[in-house]
Amino acid sequence: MSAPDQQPDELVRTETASLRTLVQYAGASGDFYEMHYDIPFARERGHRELAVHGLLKTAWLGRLVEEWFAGRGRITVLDVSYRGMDFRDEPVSCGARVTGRDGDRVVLEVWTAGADGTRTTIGTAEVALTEGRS
Amino acid sequence: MTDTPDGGTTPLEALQAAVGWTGPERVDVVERRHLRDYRRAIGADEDGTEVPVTLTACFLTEPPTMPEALAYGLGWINGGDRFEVHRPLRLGDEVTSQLTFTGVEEKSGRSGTLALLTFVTEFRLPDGTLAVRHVGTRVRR
Repeated sequence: MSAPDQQPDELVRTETASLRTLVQYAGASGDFYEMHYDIPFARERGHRELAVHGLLKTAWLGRLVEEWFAGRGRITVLDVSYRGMDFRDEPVSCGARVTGRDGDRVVLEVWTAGADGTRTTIGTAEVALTEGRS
Repeated sequence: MTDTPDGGTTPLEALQAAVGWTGPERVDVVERRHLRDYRRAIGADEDGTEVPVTLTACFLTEPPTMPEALAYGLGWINGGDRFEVHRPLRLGDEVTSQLTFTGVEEKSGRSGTLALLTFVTEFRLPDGTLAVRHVGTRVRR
């Protein structure tokens, strides 16, 4: 993905959060809401499993776009809405697709989806191109 | 929501009255060890020094401590997040921030009634420069 003209317009990869991941994220972020690591607490609130932090999913999306545009641009806006929950040890597809370009500004659709393809996060990212402009 | 038995304010009315509430001001520094822990947690190369766009999520007090929110419903759900980067953060940056409650909307859905709360946080550098603006939608139900 080094030649700008050969860049794909869509990138998807899969992330899976283990209990360790959730605890690591809770520790790093300071978000210790029990729904993410205390299974009785989560079930009392009607959830079948420990929920992946919404902000962890957003971080995955941010990383996807940042690594995609590494050395060529930086994210100026990352805006997401959570439409469903994802749970520990279940694969989460993280995707980004270029939807528009205006000068040095690239707009992308971003999303996460569960194993059945249902989108659990939808949103947009904007990237300001810097070096190696395509 | 319905009127309270004692004729006082409902949880929704209390939330509406709380618009403008601010959390405590906080000062955070982008530290090497924390950056490494965060990058590891999100699956990035932990030795990298680039500050992920979402790092300021660590400088939010989650879930928000606003009493009026805790009086509505039983728990929190994250509805959405928006990060606007005006000046990318770097290792060693110090940022000052303060959570502000800016709005509430009540909705009825399949799972009952819920309240959508909007919180805005601006992260500023010591010279006052706006680095990141975060808008969080948090749900109580």
